[in-house]
Amino acid sequence: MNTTARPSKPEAGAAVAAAKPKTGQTPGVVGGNTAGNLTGLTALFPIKTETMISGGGVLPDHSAESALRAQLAQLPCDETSPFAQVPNTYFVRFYILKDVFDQGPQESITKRLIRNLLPGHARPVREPDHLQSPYLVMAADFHGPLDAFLSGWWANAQDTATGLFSSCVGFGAVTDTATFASYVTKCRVKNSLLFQGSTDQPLADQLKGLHVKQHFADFVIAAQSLTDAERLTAFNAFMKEHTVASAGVPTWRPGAELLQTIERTVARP
Amino acid sequence: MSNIAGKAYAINVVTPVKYRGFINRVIFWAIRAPVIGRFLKGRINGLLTLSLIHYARWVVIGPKDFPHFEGEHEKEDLRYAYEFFFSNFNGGWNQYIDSFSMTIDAGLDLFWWFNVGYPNAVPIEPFHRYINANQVQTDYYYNAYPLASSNDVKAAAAIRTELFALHAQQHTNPEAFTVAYDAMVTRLQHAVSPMDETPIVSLAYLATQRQAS
Repeated sequence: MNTTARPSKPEAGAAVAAAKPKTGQTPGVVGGNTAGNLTGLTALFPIKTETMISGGGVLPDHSAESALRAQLAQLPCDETSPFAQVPNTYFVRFYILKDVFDQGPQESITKRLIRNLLPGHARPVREPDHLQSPYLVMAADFHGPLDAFLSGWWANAQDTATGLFSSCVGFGAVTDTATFASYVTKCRVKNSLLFQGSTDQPLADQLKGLHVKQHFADFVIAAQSLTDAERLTAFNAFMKEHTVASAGVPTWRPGAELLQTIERTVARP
Repeated sequence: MSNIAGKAYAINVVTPVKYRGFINRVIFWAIRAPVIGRFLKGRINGLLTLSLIHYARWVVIGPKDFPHFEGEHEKEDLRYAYEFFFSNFNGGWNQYIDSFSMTIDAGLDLFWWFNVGYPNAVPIEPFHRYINANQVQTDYYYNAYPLASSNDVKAAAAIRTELFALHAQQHTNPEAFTVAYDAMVTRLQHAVSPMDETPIVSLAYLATQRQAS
C-alpha cells in the first residue's frame, strides 16, 4: 500500500498529515479485555426469579425472563437501534442463558472397562450442573475504553438500559452514569482471549471507508471511458464530494441495512 | 430472535470445563503472553488469517465466579467451570464451523482441550454435533454495518488510504495522474466492489425482517 507520497509544498504536507485518515492496524490481534483499541465487554446479568409477597416471603416468579425475551424481540436491530446511537459500537448481542448444558455421563476408558467386565460396578450417578438463576448474557465489541461506551450508552440509550436491566437482579440502585457503570462492571466477566479481525479504526472511519468504497466502485467503472484530463478532473471532484480525508458526512448510517437508507448527508445534531 | 444481522452471524457456545477452568485459563494466558505466545502462535495462525471473522472471544468462568448480588439471589454452586465462546463472522454456520475445523484444528483442540465431552475438531461430524448441542440462540443482535463483510471493512480502509495518498500528490499533469491512478486501481483490484443488501439466508432471518417491518 502506497502511503509514502509527499506533496510538493511543506505547508501542504503539514495539512495533509493532520487530515490523513486513520488506516488501522493489521488484522489479527489478540488480547484479553482489549485487543488494540478494541474493547470486548462480556457481562452476565442475573435475571430475577422471585417475587416478594406480603409478609416478607418470596415466591418463584419467571415473569421477568418472559418480559426480557419480549423486550429483546421488540428492540430494533437497524439504524433505529438504540445501539446505533452509542458512539463507536460495532456489535452488540444479548441472549438468555436459562441453564448450562450437561454433556452426559463422563467416564474414563479404564472405569468403563472395569464396569463392563466386573459385576456390581454400576455406572456412576451424578447430578448434572444447574444454574440457580438464568442470566442475560451480553457481548459488545466497540472502539475505545469501557467507561466511554457505558457513558455513551447511558447518555444516548438510557431507556433501553433501564428497560432491560429492570428485569435483572441488582439494578435497583442505578440512578446515573456512575452507578450504571458500577452495575455493569460488577456483572462483567474477564475475557480469556479476544480476537480482533478487523481494522481497529473508530466506527466513524470504518463507516466512511465503506461509503467511499461503495462510490469508488462506480467511479472506477465510469472513469474507464474518460480522457486523461477528464479523469483527473473527475477524481478531484470525487475527492471533494465525498470528503475522503474526513470521517464526517457524507457517510454511512450505523446499523442501516438497506441501500436506500444507508447514506447520511447531514451531520448528527 | 436471530443469529443473523445483515452479513454477520453471531454464534454462542457454552461448554463445561474440567479442573475449574484453571488449565484453560493458563492456555489462553500463554497465547496472549508476548514471549510464550510466540511458541503457540503456530496453533492459531489460521485464526489470525481467517478473514471472515470480525471479532471473536473466549471467556472461562470458574464455578464460583458467576456475578452475584449478596442477599438478592442464590450464589452458583457448580461442579464445572464454563467456557463461553462468541464470534461475529460472515457466511453460514456450516461454512464457519468447517473453516474452523479445517484451518485451526490444532488451535481449537488447545482452546477446548479440557472441556467435558469435547471430541476434537477433526473429524468434522462429532465437532459439528458438539457445537450444535452447546449453542445458544441469540435473542438480540446489532451490527453497525449489516451490508459489509469483514473483508469489505478491511478493503474500505485500504481504498480510503490509497485515495488519500494519490490525492495528496496534487497531480496537475493528466498523463502522469493516469499512470498513478492505473497503478492504484491495479493494487486495489481485490478491494473494489460494490456492496449490496443481504439475500435471505435463513427462514429465521426472514421472520425477523417480517417482524421488524
